[in-house]
Amino acid sequence: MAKKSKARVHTLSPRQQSPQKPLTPRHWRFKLLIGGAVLAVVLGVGGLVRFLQQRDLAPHLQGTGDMHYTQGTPGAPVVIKEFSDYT
Amino acid sequence: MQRFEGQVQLVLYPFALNPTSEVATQAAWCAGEQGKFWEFHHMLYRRQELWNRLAAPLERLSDFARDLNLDTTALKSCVESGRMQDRMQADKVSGQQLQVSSTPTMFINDYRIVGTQSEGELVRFIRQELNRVQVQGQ
Amino acid sequence: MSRCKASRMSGYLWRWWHGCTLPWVVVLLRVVLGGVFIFAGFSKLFLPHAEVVAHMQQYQVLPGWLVSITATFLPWIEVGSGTALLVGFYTTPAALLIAVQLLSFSALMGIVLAAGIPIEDCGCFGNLGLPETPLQVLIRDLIMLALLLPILYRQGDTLGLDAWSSAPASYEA
Repeated sequence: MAKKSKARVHTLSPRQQSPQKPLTPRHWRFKLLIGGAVLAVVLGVGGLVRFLQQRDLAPHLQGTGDMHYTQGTPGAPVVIKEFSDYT
Repeated sequence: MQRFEGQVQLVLYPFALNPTSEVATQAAWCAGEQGKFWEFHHMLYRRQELWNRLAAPLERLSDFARDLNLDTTALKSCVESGRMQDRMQADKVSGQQLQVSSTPTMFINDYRIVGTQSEGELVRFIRQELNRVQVQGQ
Repeated sequence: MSRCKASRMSGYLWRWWHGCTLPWVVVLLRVVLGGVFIFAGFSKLFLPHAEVVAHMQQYQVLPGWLVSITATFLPWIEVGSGTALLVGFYTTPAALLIAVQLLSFSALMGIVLAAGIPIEDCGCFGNLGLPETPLQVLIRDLIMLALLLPILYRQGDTLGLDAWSSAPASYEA
């Protein structure tokens, strides 16, 4: 008669033997939600800064004073405003 | 300017970044009171190396003004009176509101360009803006 | 070097490395590095786009089309990666992205120094920071690269969103 193996056999407890879904990190979805929200807020603030800057450009350009020396045709479709330093 | 006659206007905003440049800016405006702003303006750039490192360039600039047949006494007293300070300050404030921090900075209508550009690049920007304006106008 | 000295040095190095990878040290490094990158990104966003382009053009290394693309996207990448690192959100990818940026900046400064291109202000922090020369930027970036190592070693297992989300899994019946 063959010798029975005395190797230890790992048996599952009754709780472990019951059918179950695959393991998932507990807060994985929350992490994506919170991390994504934080990123969205920060990047959104950046976008707002850029937008406000561009929006304020045209009024400031129109508001620049008239007493400046010009060349070319008054009322031309393209106006070049040049800020330059002599040094 | 000649290439785009009737289509482009240049408006100059001298934007002094240091005390030497402030003196030059005021001198240019004072020369303008004698009807020779653009001549003085071009002369400042042509002879830039001869005056831009001086802490007090007014004397040297007055010598240059003599070459343009300007009244140098009137020019000097105009600069020294500080009459042009408010104008210069107003341009500085305008530049700061537009976040101009380096020169040259140009606005071709609303399009900002910073730094020295080649003539070819400038022509390209101007043509682009002209096309855009024409398309909008249609 | 004698065996005794070598083992003493390796002991010092091990203690130093152990100190650097303490949780609170790693969190501090994340906050500092993340904060620096957020600040750098925002300082560029506060500038008009053309100013950022002009800052990059002064390096005379990148071709024109790449300058424009870099000036457009770099501030966002800096802000995004800095934020992710600071809150510990996908810490390792964020740290690697920052490392790539630091390596690129270091390489750029190296080229500028080797070519002798005169640059007074790198424009790294727009108009909000102190002007820095290429050599100062190179040294700063190399130090920051070294400071990333403990963060990459710990891989987000310290205070942050990654650590929170990797709490023990629960069985669902």
